[in-house]
Amino acid sequence: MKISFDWLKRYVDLSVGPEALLEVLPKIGFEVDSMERRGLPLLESIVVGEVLTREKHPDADKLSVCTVTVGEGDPLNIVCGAHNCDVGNRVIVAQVGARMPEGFKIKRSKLRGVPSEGMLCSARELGLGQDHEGIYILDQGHPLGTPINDVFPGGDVIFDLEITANRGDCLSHIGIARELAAYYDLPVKHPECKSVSGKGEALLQNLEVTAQDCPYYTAWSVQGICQGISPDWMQKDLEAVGLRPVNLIVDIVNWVMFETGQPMHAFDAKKIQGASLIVRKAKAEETIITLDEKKRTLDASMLVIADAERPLVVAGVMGSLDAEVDDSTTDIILESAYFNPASIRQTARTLNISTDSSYRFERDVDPAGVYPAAQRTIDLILELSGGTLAKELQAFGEPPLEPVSIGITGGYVRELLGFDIKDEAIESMWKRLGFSVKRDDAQSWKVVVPSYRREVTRPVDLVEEVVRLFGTDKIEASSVTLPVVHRKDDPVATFNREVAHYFVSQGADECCHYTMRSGEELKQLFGDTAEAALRLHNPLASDQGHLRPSLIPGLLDALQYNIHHGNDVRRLFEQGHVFLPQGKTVEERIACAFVFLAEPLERTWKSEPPLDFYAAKNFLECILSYAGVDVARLTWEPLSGVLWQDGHAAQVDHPKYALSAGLLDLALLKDRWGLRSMVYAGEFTLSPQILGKLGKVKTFEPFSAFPSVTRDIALLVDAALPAAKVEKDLFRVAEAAAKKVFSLESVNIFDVYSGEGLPSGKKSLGFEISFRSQDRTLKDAEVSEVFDAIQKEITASGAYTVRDNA
Amino acid sequence: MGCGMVDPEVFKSVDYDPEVWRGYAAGMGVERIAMLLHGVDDIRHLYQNDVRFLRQFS
Repeated sequence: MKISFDWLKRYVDLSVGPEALLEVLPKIGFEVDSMERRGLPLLESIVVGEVLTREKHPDADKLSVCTVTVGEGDPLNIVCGAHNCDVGNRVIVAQVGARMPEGFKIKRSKLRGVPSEGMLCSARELGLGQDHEGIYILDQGHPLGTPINDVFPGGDVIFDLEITANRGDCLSHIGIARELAAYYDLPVKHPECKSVSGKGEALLQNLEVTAQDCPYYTAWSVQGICQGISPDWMQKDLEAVGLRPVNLIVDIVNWVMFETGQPMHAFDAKKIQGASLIVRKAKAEETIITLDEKKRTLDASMLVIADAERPLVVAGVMGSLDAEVDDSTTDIILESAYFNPASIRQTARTLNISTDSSYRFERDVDPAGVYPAAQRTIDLILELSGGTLAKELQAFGEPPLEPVSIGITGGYVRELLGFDIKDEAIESMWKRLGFSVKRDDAQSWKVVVPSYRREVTRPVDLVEEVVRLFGTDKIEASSVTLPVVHRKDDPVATFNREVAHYFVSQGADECCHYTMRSGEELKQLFGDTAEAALRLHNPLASDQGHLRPSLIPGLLDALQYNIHHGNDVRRLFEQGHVFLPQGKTVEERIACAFVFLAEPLERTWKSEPPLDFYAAKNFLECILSYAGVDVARLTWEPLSGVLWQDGHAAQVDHPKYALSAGLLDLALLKDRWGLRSMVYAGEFTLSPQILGKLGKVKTFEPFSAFPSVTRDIALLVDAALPAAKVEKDLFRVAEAAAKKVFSLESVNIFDVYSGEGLPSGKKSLGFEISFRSQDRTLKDAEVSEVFDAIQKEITASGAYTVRDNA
Repeated sequence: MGCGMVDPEVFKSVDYDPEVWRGYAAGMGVERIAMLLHGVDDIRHLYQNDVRFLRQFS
């Protein structure tokens, strides 16, 4: 909320400037978002003068030599370059010693040999405007010697304060003045209300309240007002707090709201049908066109102020065009009321409107302020626009004013604060804040909370008030002894560190992106189902409306950013959390991904072989081994998806982890990220539980002391068949065959060949099979026997044939 | 930076007796600590992923 320093000072005699408040306001609980200066700053020694004589400078065509009086003392001799420093003009004189707004100081000087004792100022030099054609000429009415700040008053400082939701009482200038008065121990100067006695007739024939959410409603009738524009001071105040002046009546109502914190509403009495106001719940599907010219459909939970026919105001939120006070209004009804905060909050939220009025009502306004705020408004209306107040005030109900009283002892306050403070000091702080304090007995007080501080309900709240005024900065520091808890690093942290070291050793840079991505991106890359499952209910920004299912898009953003900025970027990786839709729930996994350009962008004198799919797969398997997964047992399957180039990517899908690696789709990279290079990427996601095993102590398994024996075999298979599948089959067969006599140690692919000499559609895979025994050196004959059995068995299904010349 | 004494209502909602338990809370975003520690002048550097920034901390 915006607070004008100039306005604030009317309610409390602050002896400090705005800079001091910049420190004090946060201390008492009001964060200052910004502080902005308006108009002329304070300028010393710059006053109104009059040109007495003007002569041409003897040595310069464009300069004049003037004598200027500022009222007192001898006239000043001033050399001036302006064309309009004519005799008799009232001008602005910066005397010797004055400091101009931009910091430049006026000194006694000589211009081309002629002494000059000051400067005549232009508008621009003073920051009054852009005009620098000549000096600023004032009206004749300004007396000589008047300080410039009196000629141009209105310099102000505007604070933008962050007021927490529990302090609805501080959403006004009096509210903030009250807090500062308490802090500086000064009285609050409340505006005086004249006790006007009405003479006219009340304008309503009927005032009815049929809803519970409005315990107190007052309607004040004023006839024969004369609309117009509000006075300059009021316009300046309103503009200072960010409001646009509308017309006299509307401005007065708004101004009093920013003075007292009480929102009110003025109706044009002639627009009220049936001279009747009814505070009631809206009917279902009832519509209203609010002042922002939007048609709103109401529901039965919402409170409205209606006339005999239609709703005129969404209570406490916004008025309608139907009963708007305009320039031709002569008779008004002023509403000042107390509404249930929860009801206003719900209505404002449902309609998605937040107004100055609803903002205050939903944070609770002072029920005791309803009547005086209306009186203040009526005073200003009668003073500024004339009119006659009705004799009778039409009102319903009573302001809800059950006094809250809290019992508390000095011992409790000191015990909670942890430092010593005297009873008298405690008592005086509460009193300064408007609490009434009575001694119950020697130890305890009875503290009665003022009507505007109804959020204070417990003894602990009163302690908070004490420490707020005392100042947390004044509490003496003391040391605290705390036990330190020793424990091992979380396995996830250990894993992440190892992965980071590995990738950095591969020349990659570690990135960090936000966890949220845009829905549009999710839709395109991961499909509608993922988009719907990962959508946030209340996103802060539309481009961050969804949880990310993958780290790769973020890494591609970083690749694009760095290439656009001409940075030598080649390899990027990231670790973080991703979110995978699993039926109706979402599973959060830790993830690790990389994007590597196949070839460097920079020119190099020594060329390296470009990356390929196997390299990408290998990077991924390396980091997976840090997670304790046996890489040899992975089953890779072809992967197709929007992100990946068909036929150049593969995946492993396991319930506890998933891997994908390969070449990213070239067209997608070009269209979405403007990347024209080949990019290899890999990502793996895993449930953190599987890292739990990492810390376990391993048990030694004895191994054979005897050498291994190997045999090679080449199989002719369908070209489309993944080598890993054949390897697996061969392993199974070999293991079964060897088991009867000794054991199989490994099966390894060492050759892949297709082309000349082979039937079309076939490829040849060369395997090395390795055997070993626990208790003896194997003999050639026994190995050959097993090897023959393997050849026979592997060809039995017909899918594979043994290539003869192996 | 937010810090202060814990409101008794917070203790109640997690089944601690506020008559017995009192506490202080203080929190600071990891970004701010990193900025102070390394003299980073703009928080956006941390998520911009400019390699000239990343390489200073690899």
